[in-house]
Amino acid sequence: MDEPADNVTLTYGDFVPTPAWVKEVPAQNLTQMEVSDGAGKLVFFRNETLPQILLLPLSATGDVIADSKAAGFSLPGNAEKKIVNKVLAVATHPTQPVLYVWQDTATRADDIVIPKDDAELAYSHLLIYDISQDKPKLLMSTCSGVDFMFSRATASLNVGNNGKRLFVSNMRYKVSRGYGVAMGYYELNAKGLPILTGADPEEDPALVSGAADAVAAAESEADYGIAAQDTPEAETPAEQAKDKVTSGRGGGLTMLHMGNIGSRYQAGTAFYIDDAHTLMRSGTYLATYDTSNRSGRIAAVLIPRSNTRTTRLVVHPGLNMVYAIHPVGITRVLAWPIFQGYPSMFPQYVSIAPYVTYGRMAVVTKHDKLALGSAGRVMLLHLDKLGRVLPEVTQVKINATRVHAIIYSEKFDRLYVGTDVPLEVAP
Amino acid sequence: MNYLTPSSQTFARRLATHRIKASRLGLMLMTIAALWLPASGIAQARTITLDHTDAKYIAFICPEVPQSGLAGAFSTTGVYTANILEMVPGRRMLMRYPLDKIPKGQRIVSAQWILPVSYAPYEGERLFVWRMLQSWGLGVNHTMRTQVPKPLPWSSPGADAPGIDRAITPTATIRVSGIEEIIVDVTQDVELWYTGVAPNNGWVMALDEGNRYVRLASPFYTAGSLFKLRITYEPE
Repeated sequence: MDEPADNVTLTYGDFVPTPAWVKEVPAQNLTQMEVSDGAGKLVFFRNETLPQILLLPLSATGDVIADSKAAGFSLPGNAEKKIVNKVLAVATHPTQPVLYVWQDTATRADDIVIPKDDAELAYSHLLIYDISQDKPKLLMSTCSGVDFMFSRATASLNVGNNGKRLFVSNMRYKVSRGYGVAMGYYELNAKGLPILTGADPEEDPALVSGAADAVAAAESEADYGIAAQDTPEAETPAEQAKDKVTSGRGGGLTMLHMGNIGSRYQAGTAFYIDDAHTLMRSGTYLATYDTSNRSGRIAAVLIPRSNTRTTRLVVHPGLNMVYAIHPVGITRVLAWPIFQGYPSMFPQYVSIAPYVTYGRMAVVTKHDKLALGSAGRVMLLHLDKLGRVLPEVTQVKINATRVHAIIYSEKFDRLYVGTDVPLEVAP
Repeated sequence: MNYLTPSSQTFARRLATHRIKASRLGLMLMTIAALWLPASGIAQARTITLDHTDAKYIAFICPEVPQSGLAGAFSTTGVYTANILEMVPGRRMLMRYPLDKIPKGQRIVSAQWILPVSYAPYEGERLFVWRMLQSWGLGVNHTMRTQVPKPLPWSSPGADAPGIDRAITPTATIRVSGIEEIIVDVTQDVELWYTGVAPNNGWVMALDEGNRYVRLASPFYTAGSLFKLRITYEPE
């Protein structure tokens, strides 16, 4: 698609002094960063070095504590220093100290999507941790069975700002010839845990305090052969929960079939709009999944000049605009108005030349800015009331050759930006 | 009988046998005219060509996906895309071009809207183009004409109310006979908009009820310049 009207070409001035709400964070070689408002921690993950997940505590005001060290932990299968499992995605709950981790094994060369044996069928992709304390506590593991693709290179997890749903990727369903690609979501309870059985675990405490823990422990140990464990007795809440967890749908997981827009090669991303509407990226498509429309559940439009491997989206928390970037060599940002979950007409093209972006974007809601990481800087694009990009841009110098990790916390009103300074990890 | 003198015959023969020279002659005459006409004060017409990239708004709306403004085609069960624009009964295409590229004080000589038909398997399908009477914009869909600054519905879903949402009389009725660029004369509409007699709310296009389908190239998929609007104007 060619350029529409309303293009914006940014005009750059000099660097400005770093605003108080922009915080540089030591994050050398750490490209993925999340913030847990509930736990007051920054979360990083990596796969090349153990530990895989790093938690950096923040002060009560959300600032990085001087000389503080990150606490690290690895996924259960890596307990013996063997990297069996890769972290493909993490997400945090907006208010609860809950961390969601999507894991998968090393990518198989044949790009097969079907679990090949019982061990793979029993493999749980989703791990849920309580990170309120120094030592993370595994609350639940789920997303196993035939409805999940195996040995993937990418995955996505997303919890909306209201914490109502957890979206997961890499699901599949049988069609007449082979398999289709799907995404799925769990309804979350007030504590940020999936409602597995259709019942709210708040009303069935056994699912949270006892059974879920038992299930998680049992699965994590059984999955990875860490230690022998007792088999839960039949007919206990734990057993019931485990049955549901390991069943095809993972119990309580709603599947969103993506039809012919599903991509087998790149995990989709989904965003909560309202109970009936989910905005998702799949391959080169930006699509609206509308469960209230039985005859036209998906309305899809190609993301202009998209690339299945690189297009990244962020949805404005006001839900009225989605921003897309191509972080590999493309000097363009797209800003697309959204109404009831549907993109409207052409996106706004924003040329950020001569710079390119790396990593992710963040909407800085309290300052009406869209933050992009670039070479040695963060670019703060100014937004109008609708979320459209204005020609003004503010540049802040960052101690990083390339800024990859970037995340905003509305609770703390802090934009965290990763630098080239190494993050020290507590032994 | 030959009325040409020998020298004229020679000139005519040369023209006939040396077309390149003839074209050079034409070019020379045109250059002279181009230099002479402005100096002489005689009005000179200019032509501009707008396309979809100049369009302020474009939308595909249909009752099957009433909240989407980009439902151009049924793709597969339950899936609609904007990759192509498949005109079927009930689906509408809306398009509006700002005319600010035409200088003030001009007279519209002609305006042509060029529609890129990419597939038309049925002979004689009928497309209508109507001038829009209602304004529409961001958030437009089958039920709403805009959602900024607040949601406003169409008088009839699909911009269908004659005399309220759209003009009663079509600007053009087109018989589609194959894969072609269809040229629609929209001079009167552009003149109305340019002179300010009517607000520029663009056009809505629809297929005749009872027809099957006509497929047009979509700017969401097809590269290049689509939906050209060629306007010729001259000083008043």
